[in-house]
Amino acid sequence: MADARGGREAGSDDTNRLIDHWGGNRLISPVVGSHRNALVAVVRQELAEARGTARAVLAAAESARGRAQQRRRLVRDAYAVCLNQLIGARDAARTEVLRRFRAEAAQLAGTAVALADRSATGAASAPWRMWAPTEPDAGGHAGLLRVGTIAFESVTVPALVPLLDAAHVQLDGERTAVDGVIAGLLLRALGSTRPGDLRLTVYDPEAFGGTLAAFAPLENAGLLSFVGPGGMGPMLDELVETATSTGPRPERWRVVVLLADPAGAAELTSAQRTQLDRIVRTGVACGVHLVVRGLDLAPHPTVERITVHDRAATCHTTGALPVRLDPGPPAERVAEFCRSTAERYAHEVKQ
Amino acid sequence: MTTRDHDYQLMMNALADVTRRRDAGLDSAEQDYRDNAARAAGELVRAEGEAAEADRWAAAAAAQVLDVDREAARLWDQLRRARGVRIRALGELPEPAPVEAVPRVALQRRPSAAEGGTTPVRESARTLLARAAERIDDTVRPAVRRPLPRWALPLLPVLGALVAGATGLLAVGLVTFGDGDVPGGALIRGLGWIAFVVAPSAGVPVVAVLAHRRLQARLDIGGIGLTLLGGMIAATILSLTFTIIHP
Repeated sequence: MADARGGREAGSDDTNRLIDHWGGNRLISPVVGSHRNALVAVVRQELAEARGTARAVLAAAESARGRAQQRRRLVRDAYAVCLNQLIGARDAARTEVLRRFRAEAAQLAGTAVALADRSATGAASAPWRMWAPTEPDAGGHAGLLRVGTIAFESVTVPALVPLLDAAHVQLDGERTAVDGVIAGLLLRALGSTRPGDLRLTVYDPEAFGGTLAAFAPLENAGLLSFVGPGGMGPMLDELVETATSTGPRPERWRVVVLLADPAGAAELTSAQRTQLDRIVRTGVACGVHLVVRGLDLAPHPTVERITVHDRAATCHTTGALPVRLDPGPPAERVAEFCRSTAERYAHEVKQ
Repeated sequence: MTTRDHDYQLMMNALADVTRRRDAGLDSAEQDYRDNAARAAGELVRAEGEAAEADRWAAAAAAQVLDVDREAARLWDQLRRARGVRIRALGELPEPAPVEAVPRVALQRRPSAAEGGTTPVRESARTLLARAAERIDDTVRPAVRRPLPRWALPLLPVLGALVAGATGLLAVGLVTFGDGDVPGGALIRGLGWIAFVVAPSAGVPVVAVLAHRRLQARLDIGGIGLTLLGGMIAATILSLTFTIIHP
């Protein structure tokens, strides 16, 4: 009201005009013509209109409230129906995705198992409880080696990695699991080749060869040599010379196991790093393979990287599929095999 | 790596790819569900909000009816006590007038107000009440005028002197004309002498009217005094001059 009370003089003029207006039209009876009575008539009209306007606003508000409540009821009902339909649509989409996946997966997994059986036979892929050395195939091609399995729906596909004639292997992750994988790879490689075709060199400065102690019987036959602390440089020089020489070699493959820790990796001189990189680049073609833990090999297509975490692993060959690692081979099984291999090789050499 | 080994690797990649596509498909289905459910929930929240807003608006409108009625009754009662109003003729509080078109101002908070816009512009109830209150105030309590501004005070003696001088000259003229050989000369001369008497205070009503109309101010006792002072000085000078001319 305060704003309407702005100028009293103007208000008086306004009153007079209104009185003239209303009085001339409908409010002022011919009998009542005085100024005061005209003012009463105008105020009467304004109060009546004010009360009527307030009721009109209330009626409009009630009407709007009715419409809003009806809309709310409709939207509530529609929401429940909509939610059920959305759940149905989601479930249908999921079912369709899984149906397509299972159809494709069954076919692909079957093919993968068949290919795995051809790529890794006998000792290269048999579980440890049934494991026994096997003769290589007639062509003498080295195949892939099993490190674990891949569970794919209801099918279990062997997880294989390349080594002989194909790759270097670099392993990272939890140390005990990594050592188990290395022992398994070496046993499968030795068990699927003829005695003497593969020689091992082990650099294990921390445990003095203890990590792979089960393979020690091979040392007597000259199929295994341990390199002590400080022997890294000469060993790498010899490997580079072996890789670059064109003369005949007594063994077909030379597998060099480097078991270092990050501190040991930091101790590599630049010359040693250069030699190691050279072996990475040229070794596979010459039958020289590195199996490395605790060292970073230079990026190269022939480097197979296996990353281990909680008995599971990922590697380049199996892509993004998680591999459930096999446990390491039993030590007595390894030792027994290595003794028999050493005796067999010694016997063949004598003949 | 031999061809069969390479095939094994390709097959592993194909398995990984089909797994990736399965995961993407499941994620997409779940995301679609969440997006659409969120959209539906948003509609529900909006409808709930509009309903709550309409409830509030209706409650405010109901409260306004009570307020308007209370204020109208108060104003009507105030008008009843005004001077010169016949209570019997005034009657009871006016009934609400039928209003077809709701004022636009009152409908601004209505949810659908922005869509329609067909209602003609009318004044709100509060505006009408305010105007009625203003009229009643003017009637019951005439406006209290402010005093004259300070800059106008020096003009008051001058105005008083001018009006008094003009009145004095008129008086001189009447007396002189009445002295002649004209019918009713005595009456004209008498009017001249009366004009002489009122000349000193003749400026007061003139100045009061000017202050009232031009400056919306009242002429207080000080202003009257200043105006009289100027008028008296002018009247004295005029009287002396007249006495010298007609000894």
